[in-house]
Amino acid sequence: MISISEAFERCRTRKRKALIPFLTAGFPEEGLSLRLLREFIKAGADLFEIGIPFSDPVADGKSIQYSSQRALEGGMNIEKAFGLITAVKGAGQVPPIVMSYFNPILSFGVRRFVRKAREVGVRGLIIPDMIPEEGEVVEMACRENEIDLVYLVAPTSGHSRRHTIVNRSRGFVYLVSVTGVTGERTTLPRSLNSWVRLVKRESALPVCVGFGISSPEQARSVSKVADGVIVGSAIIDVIRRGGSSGQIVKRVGEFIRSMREGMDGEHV
Amino acid sequence: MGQPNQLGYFGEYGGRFVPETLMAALLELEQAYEKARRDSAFRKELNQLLSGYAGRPTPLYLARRLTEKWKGPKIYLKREDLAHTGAHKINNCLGQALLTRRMGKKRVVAETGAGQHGVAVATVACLFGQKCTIYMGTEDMERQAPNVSRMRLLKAEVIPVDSGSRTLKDATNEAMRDWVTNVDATHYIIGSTVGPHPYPMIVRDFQSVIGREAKRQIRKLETRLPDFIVACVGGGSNAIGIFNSFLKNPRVKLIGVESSGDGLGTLRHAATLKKGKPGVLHGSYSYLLQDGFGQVLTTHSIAAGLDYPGVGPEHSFLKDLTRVTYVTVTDRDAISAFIELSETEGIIPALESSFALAYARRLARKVDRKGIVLVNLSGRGDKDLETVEKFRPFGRHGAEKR
Repeated sequence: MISISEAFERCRTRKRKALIPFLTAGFPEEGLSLRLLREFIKAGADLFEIGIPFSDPVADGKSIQYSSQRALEGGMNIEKAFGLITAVKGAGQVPPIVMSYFNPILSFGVRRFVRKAREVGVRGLIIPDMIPEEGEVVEMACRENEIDLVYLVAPTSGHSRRHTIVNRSRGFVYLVSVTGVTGERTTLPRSLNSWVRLVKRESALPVCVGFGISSPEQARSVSKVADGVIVGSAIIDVIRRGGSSGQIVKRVGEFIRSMREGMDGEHV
Repeated sequence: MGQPNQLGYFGEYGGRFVPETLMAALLELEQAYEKARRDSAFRKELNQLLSGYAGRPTPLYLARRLTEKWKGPKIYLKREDLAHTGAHKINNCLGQALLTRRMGKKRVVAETGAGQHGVAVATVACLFGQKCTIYMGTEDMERQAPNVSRMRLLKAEVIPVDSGSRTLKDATNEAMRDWVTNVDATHYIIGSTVGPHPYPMIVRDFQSVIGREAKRQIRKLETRLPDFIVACVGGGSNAIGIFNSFLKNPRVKLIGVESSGDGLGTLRHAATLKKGKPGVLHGSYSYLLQDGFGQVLTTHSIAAGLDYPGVGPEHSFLKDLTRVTYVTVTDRDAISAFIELSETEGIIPALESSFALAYARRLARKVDRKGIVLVNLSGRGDKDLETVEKFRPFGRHGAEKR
């Protein structure tokens, strides 16, 4: 299994930006989750993000709240989420990143969580309610297990916080596109690209943009400046349109291919 | 006891577990508060509002008939129910509204359970000309309907929250999401000693006026300090407010009363400190009712203000230090105390406060007549009449036989 930095290296070789689709583990149900993750890879993901559902996801908008609740109702938990990642691993050289709020990790045991994550091939960890000031213990566990702890930088982060975040992050820096929670938005802030450039100047790591990116046009615009694009809620919304399992997998695949084309259009 | 450390920890509890987006606002609030508390003009304005607007000091009332009836220690009630808006919540809201103005923010958001905090926020928003949005679980909107009307009269936008258990926890989630989205021009007035640093400290400090007054009052009335102080604990703001001035008086026994709902043996309770284990919810590390995978459990209490799976980090600290003893009271006992105080003293307490009262009644059996028990009557019960009547129609039964 390749590392996050190797995945970005491969993107550079192929002259493309990284596409990172997200799915809540266990949404819409466990079996279909696995098929969808495999479809992510087939459709052109460079890395993928899998969310461990939490009962109180305060950084998330309606879509991921819904997917989390459904997944929990279906009995999804950390062990099962790790099982999904194990099952998807053979599908390709695409590093999995786990997203989880802190409490499930804490409850499982930070070191135990990180060790088991590494065992199933996880290469990165995103904790949306963890700031660098609280991150030391997790950072240490991640270092020992060669997992990259990715911090988020927000539009409200001032210069000195940005400095801390880009220096403490590993793998890449997750740039939050808007002041707000996750979820589809018809327009992204006009100042986004100049802000991405600013963070890129300050960071030695790749900078990936997430929150609200839902169309190929947005993905194209963002990938002009960023190193990667994270797409979450928009995928959940495609799944929520319903249909048979086969239809859902097909639609999600088509959606990801359209994002891929949107991004690659600029660079090929 | 005293100040949390630089990162906002009381012992091992507290901290800031929030999306990065909020950090700038939390640091700004911390700075604004540090400056304000050293500013005599700020203190003066707050004190004037507390006396002239909120009606402080609230009386410390010797409940003679209750004392006679219970045949035990003297029962004193700290009458926070007489503060403007009908509960202690106004103390914190006035302070935070002043901070909001100092930070140049024009809009406030808040969560509410029983609606007392929501009413207090809506009230100060009128007073200061701030826009106001209140999040409230749909179950709470139903059981605390009078407070919904009050908030709407006070021009607040009340947004129903239909997710999760549709109570205080979910209202807090939504208020935090609103704040994350509108953080530039909005201040979040948290209503209890919960949330990320610096909130637990700020709310405690603004509520500590309760204990400062009570200490002065009991010294004047009895020339000594009480043997027990009893307060209900949801997030824990009225409790910390009255305890804070007595933490350094080890002979004063402090008792926090949680709601055990239908009973500790059932899954329908809100006894966080009794049955929870430490975890992270709403921005701080503290005792938490959660399952084996770190998912937050749904709670139950007949008192909407106690119906919360978390608790303020300083309470977790005080529990581990054993400086405060945390006990539980069932819905049934609280209802009977609600009716008993109404019938005996002509004071209708909030259901939340009735949990403290019910424990004081239990305590009265064990403490002799020379003892002094002080109960924080944190709010009044007009909002709860419908809930209580559903449980036991008025006029058909007297107070429960003891």
